[in-house]
Amino acid sequence: MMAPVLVTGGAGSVGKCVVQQLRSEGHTVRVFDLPNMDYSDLEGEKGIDVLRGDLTRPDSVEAAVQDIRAVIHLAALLPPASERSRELTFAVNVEGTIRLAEALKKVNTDAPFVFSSSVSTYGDTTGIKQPVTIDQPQQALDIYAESKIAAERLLFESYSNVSILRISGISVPSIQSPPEVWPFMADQRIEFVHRDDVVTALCAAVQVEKAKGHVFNIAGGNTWRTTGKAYVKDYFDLLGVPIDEAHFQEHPGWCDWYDTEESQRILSYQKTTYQAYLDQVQAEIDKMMQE
Amino acid sequence: MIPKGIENADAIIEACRLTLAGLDSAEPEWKEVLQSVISAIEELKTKFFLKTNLAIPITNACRKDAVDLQSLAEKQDLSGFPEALARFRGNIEKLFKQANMEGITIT
Repeated sequence: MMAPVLVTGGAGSVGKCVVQQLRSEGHTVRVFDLPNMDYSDLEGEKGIDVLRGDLTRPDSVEAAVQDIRAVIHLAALLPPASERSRELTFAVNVEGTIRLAEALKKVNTDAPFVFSSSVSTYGDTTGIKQPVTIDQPQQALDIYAESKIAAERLLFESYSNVSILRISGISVPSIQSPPEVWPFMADQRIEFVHRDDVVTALCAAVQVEKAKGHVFNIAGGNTWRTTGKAYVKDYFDLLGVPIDEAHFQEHPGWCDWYDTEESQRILSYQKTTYQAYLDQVQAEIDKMMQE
Repeated sequence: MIPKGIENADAIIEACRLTLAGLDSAEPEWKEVLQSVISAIEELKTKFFLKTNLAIPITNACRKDAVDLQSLAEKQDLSGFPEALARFRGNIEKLFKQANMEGITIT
């Protein structure tokens, strides 16, 4: 049997979709996540090996990398939890990432390592006229982005077969409570990406030879390019809520439009248009209204 | 204009209060249920869900149940009250389940 792909954070919302996608492609998978996560739809499933652990513990990280052939590293402290303690966020997102890469180097120096980073590492790019490229200087607006920048840099120094995916805001086709204040200005450019397309990109990055050593922007593509207010209005219209109920930041957030020409060429992941996403949300609403 | 879900929530609270007023010597458990529904709906009124179209069908159902309870209490026809209260509780639980919307994922 082929050696498994390690998915850290594999019991999280995106992680579970990645695991499902890899299984549907015939790969075996090792899921590594915190003990308190919900493993109910993973444990006991054919081709899935569950390992409960913690990136801050060297022994569990060493156990996680045994006999694996690739890593998709999703485990991280995300906002708002990441903003409560810089020390803990760096321990998980930076030191944990490097610990994983170092442990992997000891057992398999060639294994592809896909690192889930974020477009939030670019910070405020509202003064830039063109879509943001991967060469844009990184400038963190929060602890989370700061930790991702540090992890990217250290990872490139310590491991050769690495691919970094700077992922935009992920849109999940379900009914969600909006934040009290949307994390962007009303007229700010935004380009989110469908969760399924992120999953496709992550799974492709671990398998495509051309992804090795690359940094990619992962965003939805042309159909997803809009402004903050237009994005929220589309969602609110589906729910029958007036747009004046929405509150936007008065200073720029990290959102923008992104240059994804190379990522799309190599990873072929932009399969869900923005309209298709809205149709999926509408279908969810219709289902709820009929219940 | 007040969203229909909020209007329904106010009507549910009002019907529960009037029902309580008509249940002077009734089962204390019934009163406890109605009191807890009033508190829970007051809290729910601050949620985004009640402003959406999604809230209309289920709050319509809860409002109808609450008015039925009020009518039974006013007529002092308490033989059908437990069944009506069970139906009301079922729909209220469904309302809270639907209102428990997930948060947005931001990387």
